[in-house]
Amino acid sequence: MKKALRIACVILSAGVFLICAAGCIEQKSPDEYGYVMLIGVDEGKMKPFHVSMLLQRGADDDEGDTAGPLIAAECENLFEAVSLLESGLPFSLTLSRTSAIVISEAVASGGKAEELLDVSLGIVFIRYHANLITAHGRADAFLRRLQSGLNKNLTKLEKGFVEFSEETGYVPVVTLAQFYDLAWSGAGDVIVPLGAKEFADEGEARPAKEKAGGMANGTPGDRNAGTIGALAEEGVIYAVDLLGEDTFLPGYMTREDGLTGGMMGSAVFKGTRMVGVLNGTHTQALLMATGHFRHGRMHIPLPDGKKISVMFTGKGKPATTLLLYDEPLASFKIDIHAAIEQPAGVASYSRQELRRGIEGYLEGLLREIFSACKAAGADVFSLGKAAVVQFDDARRWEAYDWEGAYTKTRAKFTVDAQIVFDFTRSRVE
Amino acid sequence: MKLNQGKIGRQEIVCAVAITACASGIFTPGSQTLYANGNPAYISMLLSAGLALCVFGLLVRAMRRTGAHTLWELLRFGLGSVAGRIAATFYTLLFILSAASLLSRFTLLLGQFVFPLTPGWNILIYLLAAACVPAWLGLEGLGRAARLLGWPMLFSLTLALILAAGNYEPYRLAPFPGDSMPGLAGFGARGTLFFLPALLGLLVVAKGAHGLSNAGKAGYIANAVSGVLAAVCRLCLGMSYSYKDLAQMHSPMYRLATGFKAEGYFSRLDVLLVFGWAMGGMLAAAFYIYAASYLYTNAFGQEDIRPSVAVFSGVAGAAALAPHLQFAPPEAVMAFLSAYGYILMVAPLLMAAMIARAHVKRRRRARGGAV
Repeated sequence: MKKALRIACVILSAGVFLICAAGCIEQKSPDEYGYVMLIGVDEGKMKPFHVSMLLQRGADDDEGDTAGPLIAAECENLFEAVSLLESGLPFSLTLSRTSAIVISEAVASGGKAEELLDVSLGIVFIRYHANLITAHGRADAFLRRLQSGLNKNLTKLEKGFVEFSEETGYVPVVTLAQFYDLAWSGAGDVIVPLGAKEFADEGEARPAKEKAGGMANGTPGDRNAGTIGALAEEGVIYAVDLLGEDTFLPGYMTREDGLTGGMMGSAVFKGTRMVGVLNGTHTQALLMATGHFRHGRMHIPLPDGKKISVMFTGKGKPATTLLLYDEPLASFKIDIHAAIEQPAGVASYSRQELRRGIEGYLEGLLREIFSACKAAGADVFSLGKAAVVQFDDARRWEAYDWEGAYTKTRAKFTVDAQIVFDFTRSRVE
Repeated sequence: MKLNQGKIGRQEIVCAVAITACASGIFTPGSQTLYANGNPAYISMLLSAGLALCVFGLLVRAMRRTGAHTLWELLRFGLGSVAGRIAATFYTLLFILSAASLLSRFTLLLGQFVFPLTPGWNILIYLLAAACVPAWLGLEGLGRAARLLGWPMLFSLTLALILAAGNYEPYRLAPFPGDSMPGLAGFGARGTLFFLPALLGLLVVAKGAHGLSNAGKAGYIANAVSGVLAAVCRLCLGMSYSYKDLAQMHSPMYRLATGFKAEGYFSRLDVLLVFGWAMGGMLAAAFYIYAASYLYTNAFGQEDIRPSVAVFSGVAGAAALAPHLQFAPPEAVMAFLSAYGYILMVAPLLMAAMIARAHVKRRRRARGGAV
């Protein structure tokens, strides 16, 4: 009898324990959650931030031609945003599937990204491998542009974006973990993909282009470094200001249809503050120098004024050396495959001429990007990584003024392009 | 006597001690101190495990020479009944604190990242039950559970390290080694606090592991496994985050598990992995509680170990809850213990071992003289 009572007690306690532990009390089914797929962060009017969230809900309804509802609230931080938004929703929000955080240009250039992201994101269940994106203009406007019948399943957006980056190199891929790492370790700076609404609304001008004047304002690389540094102190400087180049930037491409929001180019950060913008071509070249380039097409100008389409394929990490003199000297050796996609158009050039032309173009482009980013104080070539490994003591590294040394750094770029005429190497095929 | 000891084989005891030392070496060190001067934690972990092994070896030798079968017998033989009991009480406290630090770490981890809306004490109750029940069942139950869970735990740890491999960048280990040689040695010595208690626990229950000889071999294997695993984990963490970033994390292993690059299936594997690690942590806490109870029962001539297990589980739970209720001990005390705790831990042991060996020598000489 006593034994039976004991067994009954054990079974009862185990039952109660399992019921509590397995979530049978206050259980929730998946349809009681709103899955936040993208978070947009803008400056608020009454409070520091205006946080908007694009949800993966309502995609199945008959009328719905949108990816899901966009909800927004002004708040002090992410915690408050979730609480405020939930107060007006019939379900709970979960941020565990968030694939990207989009920060507006105003927030990023004001250095407020640090204020927002300086919380343990694990507490709100945002995974550290979510992507970071900077929006040219407002982040909520960019998110609204992603609501489309073409984009009903937002869960596939991240995959598509990563594939686009790997196939073209027009945008980098930066996760929150990488942003945290580089922004606070001092071993380099990040470039973050740049998103924007792609087409101007009816009657709306394209102010940035008109303001900058595009290519007409000068040839690439002839800008004064001091002027760029001063501009960077004031706020964001654009590719047009940096390098006199405004093609391959979102909002400046004449394409029609598709999603009205797009991503092209990258935002240059110095620490946690956005200081500039690079276009798609600059981003490709920069990714080649940092070893993150997989594939991408460029249009290379030839001496006779024609442009040829070349498909580049990265050949692993470039060899980077840094000599820490008073004026540090950096050298990059980049190996790359270059498949000529229009062989008939270059029949008048020898292979050697073509090779020299392509290598010269890339080396020139890299030199220009390096000077522009150096003037803005952004170590986007991650030379800090090559500097830190030359120290054996953390205290000595912290005492060393790497930021000051970086502004005096000279760089030498050597590109070794392996020219291929084979059509089958072309991505078009 | 109701000591719930039984007899377990070498595989069981190796698993129990390795899981205990691993859990302490990987999850309990405070990041702020560990990464204050660069990223050499993976070197200092190996040093710590090596130093713990040296102390363990000395103790095993001394026990063999003096004929002591357990740590309590060595303490009594070397220091006498009264001082031996004081030392035994000190080591009982050490085991309880080791269990409490594991409970506290996992309460914090689960409370912050898995159950953010649940109060700490609520989580702790579940964890404490998971630690108290195996300790109550005794060494045999503990050993068998450890043998059963050893491989899955090793799998969950290595899976996390493999899936996170996409984020590894060797430059993050720089500056290399990061600290001066005396600094590294100091960190290595302090780190013995994480590895030695598990080995001392093994010496406390050596009778249940088929004697000192078997326990000695088990200790060497378990310490080597846990030292290498802890160092590998620190190396992987060091390649994933800069030391400045790591110094601000209270649960770096969890951060590692949330940063897998693979999209889809593995993106939210962190919660499952954490539960695997928590099981290992609670088994380690159970081993500490059992060792504390066994030592106390031996030293103070108790007949039944179960009241001690119940009381020490409660004490460990209260100590684990204290920091969550803002009752943490003064910082000066914690800083002193963190800096010199290893000396306090090792000194009585070495003293007992040396005196005991001197006794034996004197006795042998006296016998030789008589002959």
